[in-house]
Amino acid sequence: MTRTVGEWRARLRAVLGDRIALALGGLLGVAYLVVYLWVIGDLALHGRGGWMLRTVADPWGTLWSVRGPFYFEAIMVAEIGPATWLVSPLNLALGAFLAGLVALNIAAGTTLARSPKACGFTRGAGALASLPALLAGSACCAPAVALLLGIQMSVALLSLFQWLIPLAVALMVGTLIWTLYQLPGVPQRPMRITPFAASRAPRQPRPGRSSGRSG
Amino acid sequence: MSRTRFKPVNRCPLRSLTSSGALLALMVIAIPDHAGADSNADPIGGTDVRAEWKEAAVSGGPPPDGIPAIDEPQFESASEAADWLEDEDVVFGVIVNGEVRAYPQRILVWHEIVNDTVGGKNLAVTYCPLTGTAIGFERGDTTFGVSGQLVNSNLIMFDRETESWWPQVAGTGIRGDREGERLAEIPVVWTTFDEWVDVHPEETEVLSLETGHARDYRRDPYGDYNPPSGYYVSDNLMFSVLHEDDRRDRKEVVIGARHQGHAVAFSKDALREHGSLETVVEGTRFLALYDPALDTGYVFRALSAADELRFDDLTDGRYGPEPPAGRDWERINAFDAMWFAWAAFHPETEWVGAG
Repeated sequence: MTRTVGEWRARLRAVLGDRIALALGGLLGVAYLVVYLWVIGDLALHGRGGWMLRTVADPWGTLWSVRGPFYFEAIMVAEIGPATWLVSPLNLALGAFLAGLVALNIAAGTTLARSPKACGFTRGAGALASLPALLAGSACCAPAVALLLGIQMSVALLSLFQWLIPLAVALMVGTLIWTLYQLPGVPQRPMRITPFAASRAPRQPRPGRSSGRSG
Repeated sequence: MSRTRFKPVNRCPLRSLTSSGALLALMVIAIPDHAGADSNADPIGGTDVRAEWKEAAVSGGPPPDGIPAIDEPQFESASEAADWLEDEDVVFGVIVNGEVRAYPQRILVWHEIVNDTVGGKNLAVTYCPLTGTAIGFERGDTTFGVSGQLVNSNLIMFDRETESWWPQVAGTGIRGDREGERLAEIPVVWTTFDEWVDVHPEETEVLSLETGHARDYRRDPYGDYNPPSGYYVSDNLMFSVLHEDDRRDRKEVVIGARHQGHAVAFSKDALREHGSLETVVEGTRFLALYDPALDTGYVFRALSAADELRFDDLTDGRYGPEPPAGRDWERINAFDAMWFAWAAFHPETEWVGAG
């Protein structure tokens, strides 16, 4: 068990030590965070130029106020050049957590893609798993998303939106584990012996014995 | 048989005078200030209908107060508001006892309710973006919040004293201790910033951006009114309604009024074109007059065999224009609404579209 844990750590270190994978994952993770904040309405591109900060009257009390599923009140309006940012520390923390998972998935997928044992499916799995995370950003604003898509909200659909973030987290954690599992050096399960496998698998010599009969 | 003519003898003139004066005083006190504040206390919808609305209520996403009402509104002058409001931006105008206020749609789209005191009256100025309705209510000593629930796509308010539910268009309690009670309405004018300020240049106070909340008030999550776009002009509904009426386009704007169970919807386009529209519903005569300065309409009902009433005849009353004293007309509250929402709450409504 200790060795298994050590193997997992080694795979993770391999990913974190892969500078190319890390850079790509980090870049896309930051991009995801920006898109997430835009989707939930905390970030917009219509500032008046210059800069301005305006805080609410009770920042600490407002901080914990809930506006919707996994969606919290902002405590400050920041206008920075062309951008307007409604600063919600909890929205930012949640977005950063999701972005971190996206970054790790991208990085692990990149490391795996550069590995000779990777197959097409596993290369893309990490990136694909981050897609629900984008929809997860709309969990707070389901009606607005429905408006964008031109669909009518129903109780069932609204309930589904509330589960998007937990679903996205579960998918991304699952895909990360699967991608790490595919990296070279992770212990493989014993192969099932079937007549076809037996005829195809090369026989490994036992220590101290020759591979075939003599004479 | 001859009829005896009875002639009363006044044995105590002073007592009579005092009694008459007291009676007259009582009559004056008892007369409701109806010319604007709708004193029609009949609830909208019967018991069964209100139960249907309660059952049909769905969550719009946010929890109670997830869309925070403005409880401590701050105001600024029209010239200060002009720094961030454009001329064609929609505002909701209120006049009470000479005090004049404008509530920008750009702020109310994020808060939906402002608990205010205007002209000495405690009001809730409410706006539902999905049904295009801006309605004022007398709130008494309580304040109202946004429940997060919707019926017929319409905002359901709750009062913080009893936590009863009130669909905004109905203004009638559908759940809680105040079920079946109807809120008194205050006229709210749907107009534009420049039109309102042109009519009330000196005295207008405008709700300021200092709402106590962090919002991007330049952004409307549903579309825009300046110019019209998004949800406000599309044919799509975000939530289903209990009753659909295909007599008109869903988002066509009507000016709706009701009185003692009768509901009337005047086409705003037709009213704009003809200047006045009139109809009779089960013996009750309704008249809508167009105000070109504010691009709005006022609705009146005839008290008896009333003669013609024109817009130029109106005088300034407690809540805005009203018929002059002595005319057999009573102003009743009316408000802009998207046709689909008005018809959903009033399936039997009369629609008036031609002069």
